[in-house]
Amino acid sequence: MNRVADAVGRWAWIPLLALSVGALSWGLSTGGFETVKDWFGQLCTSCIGLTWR
Amino acid sequence: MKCPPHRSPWLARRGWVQAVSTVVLNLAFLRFLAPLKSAGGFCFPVLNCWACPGAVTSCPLGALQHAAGEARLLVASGTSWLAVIPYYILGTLFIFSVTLGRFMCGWLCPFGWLQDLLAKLSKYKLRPPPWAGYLRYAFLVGLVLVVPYYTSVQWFSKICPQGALQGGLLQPLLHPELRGGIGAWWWFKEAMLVAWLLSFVFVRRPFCRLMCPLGAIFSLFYGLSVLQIRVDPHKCVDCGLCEQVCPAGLNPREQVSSHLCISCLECQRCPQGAIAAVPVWRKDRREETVGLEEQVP
Repeated sequence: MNRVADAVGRWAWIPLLALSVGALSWGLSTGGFETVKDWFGQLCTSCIGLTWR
Repeated sequence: MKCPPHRSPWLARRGWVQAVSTVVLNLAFLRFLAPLKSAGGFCFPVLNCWACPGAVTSCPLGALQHAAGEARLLVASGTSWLAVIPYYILGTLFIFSVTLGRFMCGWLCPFGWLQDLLAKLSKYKLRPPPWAGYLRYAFLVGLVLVVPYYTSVQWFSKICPQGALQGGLLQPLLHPELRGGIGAWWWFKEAMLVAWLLSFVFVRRPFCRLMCPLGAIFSLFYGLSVLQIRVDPHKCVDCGLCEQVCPAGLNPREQVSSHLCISCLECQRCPQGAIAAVPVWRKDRREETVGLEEQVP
């Protein structure tokens, strides 16, 4: 059991990294970058306390 | 036992790495690089506020709050749950979490650098209780995900001290037309910033330990990320130097796998070479150390 847990601990980063790269690629192909760019397109004055919303 | 600290050339330059990171993330302060500001879709997972006039990367926490706020509206309009997941933001966050993990906090975060600088002003340090480290997860779930989901308001950003510093102070300073917006909330936010700055002097990395949702995300991946820190108990002589130099206020001999570790590697000053960063796949990684002998003495 310990050997299984050790192996999982040692190699789990590979499928995690593959999943993360997959998510990033999918997000980029579905316009994620542009969406974030739109959100940050103008200064959020309420976020920095200059207005209240 | 009193031991002279090991001098590693890389560790001696950690402050410079943090300074360079801060400058690079805010390159739009330079007039000829100002167009970089328009490329704000790139999320870089450190605490550097996009509202800063010089910032060239967007904050993934701000992006997550936006995504949470939009998710409720999209789901209400019939969009499937799978389609509203912010894959781009999560993919970016998880790639950095799996590869560098909390090295981002110890080496690249501008707000971490500010805390390290102010911590040098006093040797007297207060120690928050260990349970306080779990507050970070409450901030992550509560103010970054759940409350923005139900209110469509970026609540964490409203109380973020880095936003108060980089956006709240610098924007009105550089853009006088914005000063008309200064009101009660702005004063409250800046008062909180002052309280945080004072705490940086007397508590080691208080924001990282108590509040940072980004560090909480990295901590979730701590045992799985590529780089791990290991202590060799056979080499340790209990001199306590690692505990003295740890900017997170941990005792690396007992807390090397703590979710509060910021992976700054200061504990590698160990004169016995008992503490080292090792890749996760190395055999016998619990006891094996990597080449302090190879470093410049």
